[in-house]
Amino acid sequence: MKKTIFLIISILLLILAGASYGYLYYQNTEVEKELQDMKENVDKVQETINQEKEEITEKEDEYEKLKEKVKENLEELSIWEEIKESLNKSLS
Amino acid sequence: MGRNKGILKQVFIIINFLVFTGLLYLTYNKYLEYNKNIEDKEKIVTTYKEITNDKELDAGKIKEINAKIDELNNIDDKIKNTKEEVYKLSSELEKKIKNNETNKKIAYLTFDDGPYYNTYTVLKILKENKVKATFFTTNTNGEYCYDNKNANCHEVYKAIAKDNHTIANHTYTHGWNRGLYKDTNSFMDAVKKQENLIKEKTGIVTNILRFPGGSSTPGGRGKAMKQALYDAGYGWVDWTAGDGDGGYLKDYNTGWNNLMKTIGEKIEVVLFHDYHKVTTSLLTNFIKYLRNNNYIVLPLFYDSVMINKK
Repeated sequence: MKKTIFLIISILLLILAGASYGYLYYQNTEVEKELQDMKENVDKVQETINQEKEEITEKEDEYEKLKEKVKENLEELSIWEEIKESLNKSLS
Repeated sequence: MGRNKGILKQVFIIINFLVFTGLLYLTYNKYLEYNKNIEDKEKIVTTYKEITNDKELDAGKIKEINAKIDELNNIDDKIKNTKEEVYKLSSELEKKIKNNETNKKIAYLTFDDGPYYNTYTVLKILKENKVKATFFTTNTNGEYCYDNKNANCHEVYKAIAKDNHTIANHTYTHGWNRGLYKDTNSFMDAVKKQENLIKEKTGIVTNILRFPGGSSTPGGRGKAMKQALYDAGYGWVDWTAGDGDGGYLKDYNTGWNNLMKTIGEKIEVVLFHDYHKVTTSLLTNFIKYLRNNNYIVLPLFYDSVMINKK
């Protein structure tokens, strides 16, 4: 009798262990799939960022070259604005 | 029989136990693997958030740089628009002066016969004093500067244009004593050649001219030449004051006295020559004198009352 009960209990534990393993296996497979998808997304985004960083470097170079010109143009604009201001004062 | 059954049960129990232990072991390992994957997933989520943030910052930075580049391009347009407004306001002030409605006066500083190497000095002084002037250019020097054979004088056109001064026409040859005024065709040929040179060097198409020697130099042929100029869209201008640097100018004091003797109108067109060192030496003080005596110093423009249209 005791052995029978013991047998039943061990079978039940076996089933439980099997079910737990099966459940974990399934969950893990799902997580691994998600992980793979996320890694691919990250790679794609990283590639876009690398391209954008290259673009930023090029634009910064372009801007640096033009920066001197901006400074000179601002000075030039300020001279014309002073002349304009002087004319406006004279006309008022 | 009973004994066999008992042995079978024991074997079964042992097998069960082994399988159970094996399953426990596998489940535990799978659990560890699952936990690691969950951790990795959380790390990836954090990494994804960080790089998405980086991407937004980069996009923001690209936008910022593009805006700065646009600002530069807009500054060129702003300068152009402000210049046009200055010409418009100058016209209004001229009208008020002519109608005696104001005490304000205008002085147009003009520089003839360049470009020269010394023109760079003139440009520097004008910039320091925040003045825009008018340069009546000619090609008598050719490509190399009369006052510095190592310098390319055609490059000076670009410097004048870069500083947004008015670049005007003084004919290609300035040959008033070498057949320039022989007939209207010779004259207009020299006008056109200089116009083309200015356009080639700066992109600017000028429509203001000064007759070499002044508008009376062609004598009787002048009327037809003035008509031809008008038909070609030009206006012309002489001068009302100067320091005498077109002839022999001894020194600063002589130049200054010449200016003081000739200045007096409410709208002056002052004649200088950009090669003359005496002129460059008195220029700053003359600009200060003008401003202290109610003059606004301006560049010439086509619609000015001082530009003769016929």
